[in-house]
Amino acid sequence: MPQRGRAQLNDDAWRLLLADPAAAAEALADPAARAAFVATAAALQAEHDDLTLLHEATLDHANEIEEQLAVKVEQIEALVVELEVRNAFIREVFGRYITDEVVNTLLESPEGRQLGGERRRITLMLSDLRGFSTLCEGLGPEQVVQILNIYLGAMADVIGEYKGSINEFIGDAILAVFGAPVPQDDHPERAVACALAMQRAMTRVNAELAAHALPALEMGIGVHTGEVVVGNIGSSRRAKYGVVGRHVNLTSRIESYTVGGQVLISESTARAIGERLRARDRFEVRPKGVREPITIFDVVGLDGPMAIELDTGPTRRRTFASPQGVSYTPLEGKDASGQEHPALLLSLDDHHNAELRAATCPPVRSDLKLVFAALPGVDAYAKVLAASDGRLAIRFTAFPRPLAEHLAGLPARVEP
Amino acid sequence: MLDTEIKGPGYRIWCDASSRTVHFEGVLRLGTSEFKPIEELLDRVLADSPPALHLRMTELQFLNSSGINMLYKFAISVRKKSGTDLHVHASASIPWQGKSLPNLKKFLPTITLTLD
Repeated sequence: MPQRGRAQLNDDAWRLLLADPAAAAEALADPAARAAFVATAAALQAEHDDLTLLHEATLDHANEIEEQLAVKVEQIEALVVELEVRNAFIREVFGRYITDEVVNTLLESPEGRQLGGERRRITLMLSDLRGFSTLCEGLGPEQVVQILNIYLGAMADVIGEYKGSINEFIGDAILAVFGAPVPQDDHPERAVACALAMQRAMTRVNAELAAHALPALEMGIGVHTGEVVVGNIGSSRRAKYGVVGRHVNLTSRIESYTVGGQVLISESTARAIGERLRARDRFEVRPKGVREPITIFDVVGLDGPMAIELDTGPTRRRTFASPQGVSYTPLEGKDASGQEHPALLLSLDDHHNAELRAATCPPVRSDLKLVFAALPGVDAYAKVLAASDGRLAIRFTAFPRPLAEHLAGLPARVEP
Repeated sequence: MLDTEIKGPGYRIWCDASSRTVHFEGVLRLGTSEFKPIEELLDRVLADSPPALHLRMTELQFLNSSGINMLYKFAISVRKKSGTDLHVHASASIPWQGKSLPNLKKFLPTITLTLD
């Protein structure tokens, strides 16, 4: 460096002198050499000061950058935690209704969170408890909630197994869809297999309810395939993945024709499944608000890859020693304003199927309100399954406990 | 002073001869030896002994330790050469600049530093 040049001593000369103090003392005896030494030492000191400062200032800069880095890392870590909490929340909220697979699909695709719908052919499934409102009348609110939790929990598990998405719990009813949000080619078959599995699961549900001294439940399920609008419906603040369209209402109509333990499906679902479907009956109905009559299939099983069948189990029929006086009123919709007709209850089985003798015959599949002579204040409801020659086959859709207790106490002949 | 430019991924250093300004832009995180061309550019500019020299840092988002070291050494060179007024233009909105650039005064007390 130029400063050292002024001292007229190169590095090697310096090293030699510094290594040998005796030689250094001899060399420095010369005044000119002493002056050169002092000048060089001063230059080195100045350079040393600069280097020390350079070192410190560079370290300061490095520390500053590291500090900023640490802050950024903390911010990222906080964001990761926030994101995990948010995803866990979404998973928990939606996971109650739809499978993890669906939640993950929605979380991973940005489109999944956008508002807007698309037209899609899917299969809808609506399940409802028979006579639940009547059943609730004699129970406290805690018991009602307990029943619903046991029932809905078990049904949600089955729907999850068949990869359906629970769209809504409406009281005791469940609306589930197959084929959306994640497309499924086999949605009609999946929905029907799921419905049959749900009916089978009712045995377990009722066993659990019995263990808690709670009354047994009966469920009807309607399944229908049609084109609906699916998507995130609502505002940016509150949106839900929903389905809209007349086929949703039609599914509800189909479900309304069920009695407990039944799975009724529309012709469009039946056609999509084809020969693998096992139905014990088919009939035409004219639902309100639907122009053409529709054909409904009473499904008992499914063959093929998702083979399953209804668990009908053995039934016992009790034929009463003395027929029970009862009056029935045909219902127009849910409104009981029609005329009363006298009849006699002849027999009843474990599944609430009963036989009546009556002078007049209401139409098949019509709903009846029944009041027994022995229990004037207790309303029971039933659906007509068959009617001919003064004999009615009915299925109770609401079977109040006082009636069950009354009939159980009557002398009867039991047949398997 | 020539109009010259050194470019790399994410950074650009260029001289504007008419305003005697060296512009630093982008993110500079090179290894010590990789700063050599920039160091040489600064030395060349200083070799012309301009009365005033401007370093514009307002577009320099990031500078690593090797980079600041080069800059401090350049300040020492300017001090030793004498006769050139060094002006550094920094940005207050880039945190490291407010912390590290004022240290240039320790190496070159006559420097003018403006924080925009």
